[in-house]
Amino acid sequence: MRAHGERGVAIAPADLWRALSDPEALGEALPNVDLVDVHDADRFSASVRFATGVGVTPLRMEFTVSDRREGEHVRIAGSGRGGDHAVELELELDVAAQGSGSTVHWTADVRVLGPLRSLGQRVIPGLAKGQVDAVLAAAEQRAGGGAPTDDRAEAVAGAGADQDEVADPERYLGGGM
Amino acid sequence: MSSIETEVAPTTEPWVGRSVPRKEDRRLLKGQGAFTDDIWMHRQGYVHFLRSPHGHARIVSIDTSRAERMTGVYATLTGEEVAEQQDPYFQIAPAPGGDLKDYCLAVGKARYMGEPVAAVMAETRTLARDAAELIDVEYEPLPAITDGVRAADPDTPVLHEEIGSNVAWNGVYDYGDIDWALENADHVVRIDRLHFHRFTSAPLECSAAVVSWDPGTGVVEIHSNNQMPQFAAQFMGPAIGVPSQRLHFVSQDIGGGFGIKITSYTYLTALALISRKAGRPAKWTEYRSEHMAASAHGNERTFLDIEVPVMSDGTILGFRMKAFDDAGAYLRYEPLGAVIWAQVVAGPYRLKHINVDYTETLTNKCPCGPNRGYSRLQHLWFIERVVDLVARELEFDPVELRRRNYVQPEDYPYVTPNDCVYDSGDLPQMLDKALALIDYDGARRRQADTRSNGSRKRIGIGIGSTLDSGTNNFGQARIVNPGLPFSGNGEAAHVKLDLYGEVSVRLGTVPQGQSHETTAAQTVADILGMDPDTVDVVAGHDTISNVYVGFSGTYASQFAVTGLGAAIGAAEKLREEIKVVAAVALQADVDEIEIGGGAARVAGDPEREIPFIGIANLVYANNAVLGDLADTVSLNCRYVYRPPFEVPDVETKRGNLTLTYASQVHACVVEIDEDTGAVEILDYAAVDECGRRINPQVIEGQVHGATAHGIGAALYEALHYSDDGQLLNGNFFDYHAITALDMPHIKTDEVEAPSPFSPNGAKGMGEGGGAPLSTLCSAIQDALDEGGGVVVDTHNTSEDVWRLLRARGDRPVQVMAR
Repeated sequence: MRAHGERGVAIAPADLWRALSDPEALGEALPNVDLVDVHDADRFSASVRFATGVGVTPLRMEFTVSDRREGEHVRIAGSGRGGDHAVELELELDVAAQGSGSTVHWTADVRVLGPLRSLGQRVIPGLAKGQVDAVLAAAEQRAGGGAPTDDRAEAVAGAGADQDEVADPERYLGGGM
Repeated sequence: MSSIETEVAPTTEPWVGRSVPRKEDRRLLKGQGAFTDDIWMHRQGYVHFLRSPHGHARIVSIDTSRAERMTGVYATLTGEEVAEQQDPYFQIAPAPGGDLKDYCLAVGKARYMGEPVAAVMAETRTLARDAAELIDVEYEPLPAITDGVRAADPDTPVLHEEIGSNVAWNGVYDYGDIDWALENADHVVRIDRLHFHRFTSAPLECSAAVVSWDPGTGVVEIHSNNQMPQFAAQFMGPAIGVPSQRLHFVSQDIGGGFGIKITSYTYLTALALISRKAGRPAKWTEYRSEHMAASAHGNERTFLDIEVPVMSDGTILGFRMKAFDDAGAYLRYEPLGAVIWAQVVAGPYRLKHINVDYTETLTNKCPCGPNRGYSRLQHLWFIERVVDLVARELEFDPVELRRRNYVQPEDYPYVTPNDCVYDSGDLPQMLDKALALIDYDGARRRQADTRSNGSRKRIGIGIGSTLDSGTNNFGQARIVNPGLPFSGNGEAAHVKLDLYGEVSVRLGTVPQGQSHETTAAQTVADILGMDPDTVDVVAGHDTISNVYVGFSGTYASQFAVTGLGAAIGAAEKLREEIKVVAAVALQADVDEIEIGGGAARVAGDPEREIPFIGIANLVYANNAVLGDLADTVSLNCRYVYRPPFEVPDVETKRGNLTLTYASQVHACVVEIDEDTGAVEILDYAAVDECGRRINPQVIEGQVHGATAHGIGAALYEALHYSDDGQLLNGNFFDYHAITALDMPHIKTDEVEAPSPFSPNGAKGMGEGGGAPLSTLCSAIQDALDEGGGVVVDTHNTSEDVWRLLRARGDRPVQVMAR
């Protein structure tokens, strides 16, 4: 399942990129996360609590930061499991200058396995957007930036989300999104 | 329309045939039922199953050490341990399907999302669940196959390497001469594909069990809601090396089964093994999401390359088709479904020439179980869809086409092309009644008015004619596997006159809401001249105290014949013993003794009477009076009812596969919103024929339940998987199980055509043949016929209907004129 969005951030691209590339900073910035354990400059693990309509699903996830292009791009991959659930995600973040701040274009590819998949197919885009927004807001705050200069985050549950992993989305969703 | 009044006042009329209040309701309506989750055993631990999140994956490793270190965890169990402690389950299929290795936990591979890969027993249910999260499983994901037709292709991922493909069973059923029929028909209607979707029963109570393996006695005590313990025992006993007399099954109240609780034996096995390991009783209550993902689903079936020869007068000669049945990941009850459909090979019609190439495939989905109407409703829906499409393509009136092709009342007993014998019925009368209930002519006028007034609503009128075949001849299993040692059927009952003259009944069946206590009491009461309230039918089933045979259980629409047949036999034996004792006591001939009102008396001499308590006293506590007679009467009468079956011919696949055939004709009127595709049921009628009616109110309840089940499946309930084997709607947020709020008012009527083959004239019923599926598809198609698509699927959501309304140029159906 893919989701994407774009958001303005009131800090310079270099500062923002550093925040997004730093496992320690990411671990602190991610919402609904605890037990963060930074392994090295590229890897960290954390317990993530996904809130869905049927409660909170805790997942222990391993994250890897890679594909760093200074000031421009970073890739964060994560995978984890909790009980009968499993999640695999890839987040690509592209940073560009916009005025005195930055614009971040992000794409997330999230694969949910297990019972969470039923609900996840509808809530994951929103969850992904929430996580990214929270990380960017935390990065702003950490860098001493103000409010976002331009919030162009798309409503990912609508036109900005692709549910291409739903076997037969038209049939299944029945217009109920 | 039927009018049911609950009768309570005693009359001289037989109790059978009257709507006696349900004995079960006395406890159930007061919250005093005893369901499996109500069972508590000393020192029990709670079990949670860790399940595969993958649709298909190799299990590289399982590490339970972190879970085992958790305080309050009693034991864990993995597939690796299971492979050492359990033999693979016996397989019904012959090779290659029979080579499949099936265990109670995944061994080596997980083959469907939700498959249990490990179990944890802990002090509490939530602790067990938390501990399961500490089990580290390393998976190597594998490509999945979820399409039951594509699964047969040799280049698809193989689930079970020991089979070598995903084809579990294949066979051709050939009756009559389909080549001749296709050659000589005036028309041949060809249909590319019809699809019967996957859904489940969503019983109120999920699976549950408390299992205790007693290390001292070796007895495995199993309190569960499994609905066919003797079937479970035949799988479990050899697998874990426990003799059947030490598998002690117990159940009282069960919150619905519908067939899918037959195959819970895998969980019962796992609970037994972890109980033995922990030295504690193992309690497990399935969560709803577990039930949806990993209990059992109804079979999905795809029909391809359908050819239907039809004469100009509307006579349908038969059909040829290929059927692909998707069994899911394991053959837990399969491939019995590969023959059970043949009980209704021609449906309610006089079709003579039938050729079916049937393939059962394995896919990365939850294993199938015998869901209500098992295997027959798929085929019956296929036939009804064919009949409607023939009517549509060749411009026959769908009512008249049915009348022409129905088995007629004078045809009974009717022998089908595969030598099944339809016992009795009157389908034309049932159709008349169903159409009258929906005011067919008025509905047609309304449809025409709607068409002419430019409304955005469309009216559709549908008919569904189905059969509910009951009392299986298990010899049909030999048609799928000639090596199986099964044939016939049977059920046991025990009727006893107790110490103080009370009559008690123990059944071999395992009721899940079918009112066995009530109907057995009515039956026994008539034979012993009593009031049903004074007949104590022991609730539930206990293999230590209840009688049973290998076929015992509650499934496949047979209790009214087999269960009550056994109760009749046992009660008649008891009646004869009472008469013998009474004759001695009253110094009369046995032939002079009559029974009634809780006493035996000499006919015509009211002064010479002995109450049942007196009879009991003579046998149990005063037997010196009886002399040698005391050695021949026990007042404990066991009887096994055995239906008159022979072994089917496995070469020709012919034989009497079922004893009775209840029938259903449903009709409905729907209104479809052109803008949204929403389907509203404006009128719904269900006419039922099930032989002699034991308790009309109980039958009415079954008809309502089966109708709700079918409407739910037709409009709301479908299980969807992604291509990687993920269940996409495994909860009640996403899977809309039908509720009372979705139900239309159901008008009912009945035709009574007693079965000449059953001991009481009754026929098994309750599964209902899936008539609503046929009826709603027929009605939707009827509404579309002004232009639009062809209904080729059992499940039609508003969006599906919206698309059908806009389908143009889609020709999945072709007609070839001769």
